[in-house]
Amino acid sequence: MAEAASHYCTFRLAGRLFGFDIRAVKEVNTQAAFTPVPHAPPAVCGYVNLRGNIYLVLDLRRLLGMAPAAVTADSRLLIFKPAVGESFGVLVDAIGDIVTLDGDRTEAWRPEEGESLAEAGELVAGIGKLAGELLVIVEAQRLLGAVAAELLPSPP
Amino acid sequence: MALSNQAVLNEFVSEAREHLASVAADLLALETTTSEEAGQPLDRLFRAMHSVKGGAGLTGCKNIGALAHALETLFDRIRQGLLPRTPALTDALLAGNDLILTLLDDIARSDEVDIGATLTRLQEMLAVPPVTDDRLAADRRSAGLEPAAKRENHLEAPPPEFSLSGLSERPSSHSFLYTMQVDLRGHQVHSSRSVLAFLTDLQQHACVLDARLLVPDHDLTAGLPDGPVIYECLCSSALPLDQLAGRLHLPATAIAVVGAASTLPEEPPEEEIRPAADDRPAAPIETERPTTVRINVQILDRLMSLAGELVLVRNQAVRVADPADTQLRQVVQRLNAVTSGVQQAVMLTRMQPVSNLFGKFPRLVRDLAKHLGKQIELTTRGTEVELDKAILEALSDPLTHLVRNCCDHGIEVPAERIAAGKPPQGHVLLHAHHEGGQIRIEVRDDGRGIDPERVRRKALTQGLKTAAELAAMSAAELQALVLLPGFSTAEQVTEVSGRGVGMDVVKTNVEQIGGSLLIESTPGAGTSMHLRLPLTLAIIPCLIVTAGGQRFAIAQKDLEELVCLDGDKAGKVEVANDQEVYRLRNRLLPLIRLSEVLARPKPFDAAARTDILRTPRPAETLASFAVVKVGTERFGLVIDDFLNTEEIVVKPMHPVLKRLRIFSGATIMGDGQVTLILDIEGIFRHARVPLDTTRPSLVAAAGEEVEKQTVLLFQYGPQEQLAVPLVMIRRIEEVRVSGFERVGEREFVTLQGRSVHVLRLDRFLRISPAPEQDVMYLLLPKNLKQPVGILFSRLLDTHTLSIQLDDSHREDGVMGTAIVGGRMTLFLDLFRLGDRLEAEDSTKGTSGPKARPARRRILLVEDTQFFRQVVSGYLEQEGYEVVTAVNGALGLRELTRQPFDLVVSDIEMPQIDGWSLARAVRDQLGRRDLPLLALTTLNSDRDRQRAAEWGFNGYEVKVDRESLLASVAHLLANPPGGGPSHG
Repeated sequence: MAEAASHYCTFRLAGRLFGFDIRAVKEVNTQAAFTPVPHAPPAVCGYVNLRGNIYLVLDLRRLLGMAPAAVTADSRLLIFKPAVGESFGVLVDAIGDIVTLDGDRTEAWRPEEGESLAEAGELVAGIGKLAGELLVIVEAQRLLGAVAAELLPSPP
Repeated sequence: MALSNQAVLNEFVSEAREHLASVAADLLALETTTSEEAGQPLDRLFRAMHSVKGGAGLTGCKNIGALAHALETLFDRIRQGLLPRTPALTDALLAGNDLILTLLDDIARSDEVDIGATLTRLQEMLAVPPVTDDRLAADRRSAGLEPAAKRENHLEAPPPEFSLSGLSERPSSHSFLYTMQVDLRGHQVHSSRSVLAFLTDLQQHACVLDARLLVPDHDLTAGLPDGPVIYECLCSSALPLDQLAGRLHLPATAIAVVGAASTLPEEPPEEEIRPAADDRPAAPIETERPTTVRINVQILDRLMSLAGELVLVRNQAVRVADPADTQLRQVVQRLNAVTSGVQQAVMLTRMQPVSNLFGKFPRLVRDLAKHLGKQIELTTRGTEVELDKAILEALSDPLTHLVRNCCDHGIEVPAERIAAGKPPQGHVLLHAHHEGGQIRIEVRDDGRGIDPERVRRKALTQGLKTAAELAAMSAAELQALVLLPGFSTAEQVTEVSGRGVGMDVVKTNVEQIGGSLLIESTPGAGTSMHLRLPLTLAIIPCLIVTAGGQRFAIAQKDLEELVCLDGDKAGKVEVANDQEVYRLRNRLLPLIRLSEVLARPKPFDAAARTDILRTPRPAETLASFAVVKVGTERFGLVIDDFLNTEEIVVKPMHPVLKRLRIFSGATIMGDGQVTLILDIEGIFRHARVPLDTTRPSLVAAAGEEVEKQTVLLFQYGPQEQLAVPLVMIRRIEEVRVSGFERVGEREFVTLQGRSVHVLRLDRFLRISPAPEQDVMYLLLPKNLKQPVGILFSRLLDTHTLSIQLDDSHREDGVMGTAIVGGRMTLFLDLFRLGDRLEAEDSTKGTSGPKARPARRRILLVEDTQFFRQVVSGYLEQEGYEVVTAVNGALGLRELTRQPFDLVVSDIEMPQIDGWSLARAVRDQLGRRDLPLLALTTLNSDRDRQRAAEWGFNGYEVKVDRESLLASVAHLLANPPGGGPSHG
């Protein structure tokens, strides 16, 4: 981990605090009406129209191996910048604050630390230590790859 | 490279391509033109190469510069008449041009290519000594060729061309404008004056506005070349021609007055200097205001997607606008109109003329003809027709293949043609034109045509069809077999076309871009390939359907018809093996349930099929299906409901989901929701329909309805396509809405002294409102009691088809729907609409079926489904009981089975026609008492007389409802012979 301070856009999934590097996030949106895509992997919520552009929305709970949950009034859509991957975003339970962490306050992810995230694997970039809480830092760039991998087993 | 700036390079490449675009065509034109006509193309060629050379110099592309220079020099020599125009020269020039184009493809590495061979070939051409035969002598532009004093023919040479941009700079006293051509070397020899002296004289007596020096390929550092050095200039002078010539020591013939007048007009029209129709935008005519600009394609794409977004906003605004708020509604309607305009204009930016595509064929045909030892002439027509850039690009390969086929398989060698009584030169026509909102391109040759017998043999030996199947096919059906995969009729695999790429690939390619391909061929006389193409790919018309509670879009190009299954029809769903099939007009159609496809991500296997068949379904779930096509296959896609048709902007699937083959893209609907577009081919493959159930029985299909109707297609609101058969229309009038007179809610317009009641369709039907425009059209139906005109906003087309009405969308005033030209179309019931307008007016009118004491039974014999529905509808509304039969034979069968009070019969029908039916009723059945009414489109006295002779009691022309009903009532009240009517 770099020593310089990084900013994280935090959010909650099943009560737990997660964050993306702020440089990956384009916008946070309240839109939560998706068009489901039949045959798509379970981690795909569907398509959403934001100002005339179609985005693919992923269910981050499922990608991290957590049980899916219904959309609530707190649910938010996190849309990523094009550099992260083509027109996509994730659905989160609730949005949190922007936090700043010095490089020495983050450390590599050790799977045994949180059994509930055992399936998250390489999607987790590291753990940040906040006052009184741990922040799970998720690697946005790897999300689309994880969905594509889910599609692979089906025969051509 | 001197300048490695990529932007500059790109600019150079696209500009150079533009300059070179017509070079090949001009070169080929040169082969056939006379020397008098050659001036224009030669000048164009020279200018094009000159520009390319300049650009290459600027960007440091040495190879391109060298080639362009060599070509430019040759063009100049040719236009001066110094080089004979031979096929060998044309070949060399074409080779040079080709090489430049190739180099442009990979401009960054253009200097690494070895161009030595081509360059040497071009330079060798320069060495060809001037030929002095008569033809060439006339070809020369004489200036400077011979000693100036001897040039008697000078005036016959066209004066040099110059732009007039510098005219304003001339001194005001200079009232004469001249062009001048001087061979500086010759002048020096014959006048013993130095070049410098000549130029000094010129400066003194004239004002040079534009000038150029034409120096043959020569290194000037080695001194002046031996050949002529031509100096051309445009100049103004205060001196008359003869005085100027004297001062300059030139023969008067070296100077030409610009235009016919000797004095300069204030605003000389440019035609005086550039007389021919050279309207290419690339031509460097400074006086013309530029009408085109170069725009980055990405900006256009962005504009396109913004326009799509605007459409979406418009749709949302239309929906949220409160209908009671008239002010807001006006604003929204205005937004509606502007948005449509913007969308259309943006679409236009993507359009390119087909000449861009056709341009390469003269060369192709010339080379092929040479290679094959044939004489082939190519004609292109409709080159100004424009198509979406993407379609044009996708069309290049299929069209090339078709043209190759014409040259290779179609056109015969000269000896064979002469033996067949044809001219030795074969002819290939490429013709593009608009038709019904589509583009049609015809590729026609006058060659040997497709021999059905040869196709039959080939299909048999290749095992594509069985002998029995082939025996049942017509010549046209046999010819159409060449479109099957794995088929090639050429006896020998030739280098030109027999490369394993069959016509099926062409057909598939054309279908992929939403087009279709048809073959029409007369053995011995030639073959026509008809391509139909959509204007654009970006916005496609779609049918919106629901399945599993979700909306989906089916592209109209995939759609053939809609079938609604109700009560008795549902019985036709059968199971073949483990596949549901539906017998549609004697053809087994496999059924695929969309909801099952959506629910099962894995391709169907035996277990899945069994599971689907066992799923209990209430009868009403098999409500309706869409007949869709995949290549030559058809299947029924079972859906829950049809919603509407909509023009949608297609967006590709997200890259992660590209592997899902049942969707081809997504779109945003008017309500802002994303809707998925179904990939019909993907669904077909996902469902793994056993192929044996899809084989159409051609024999059975051949006996289908043959009578065709011509219908008028038009629009009221922007959404729906409406249709009315032409036979029901009296005429169409253009009207101005501002000229309507209003009486309360009602609107009238005065036409030819009569007040016509205007019927607005959205008052009676659930369709979109008409756009706000003053100029509209009024459709005046035939045979209505009251003068009523149906208002509509846009005339689309006429279309001839056999109408198969689907009455699942039937509403009061609509006879049914059908797919016409790929779009769902509402067929209006003009009489019902007229009735309803009248009923609304009088408010007392009841329009339900009239009660009659005893229901009279009528047999309606009519082969056209459309008329069957219309006429039985009229009769039923009058309270009659109607039984229908589709031809005379079935009509006779009905007559033997049950009693009827009257027979209404069409005349022209397959199997047993109306004449024979009448004869059979009278003679075979001995029913002289049964009233027979002929209902036909035949309307001559001879036919009426003949009908009476054959036993008809009445004669009515399709379709005058009032007259028909009067006749029916009359015949029922006064049966012939007076006897009991029941036999």
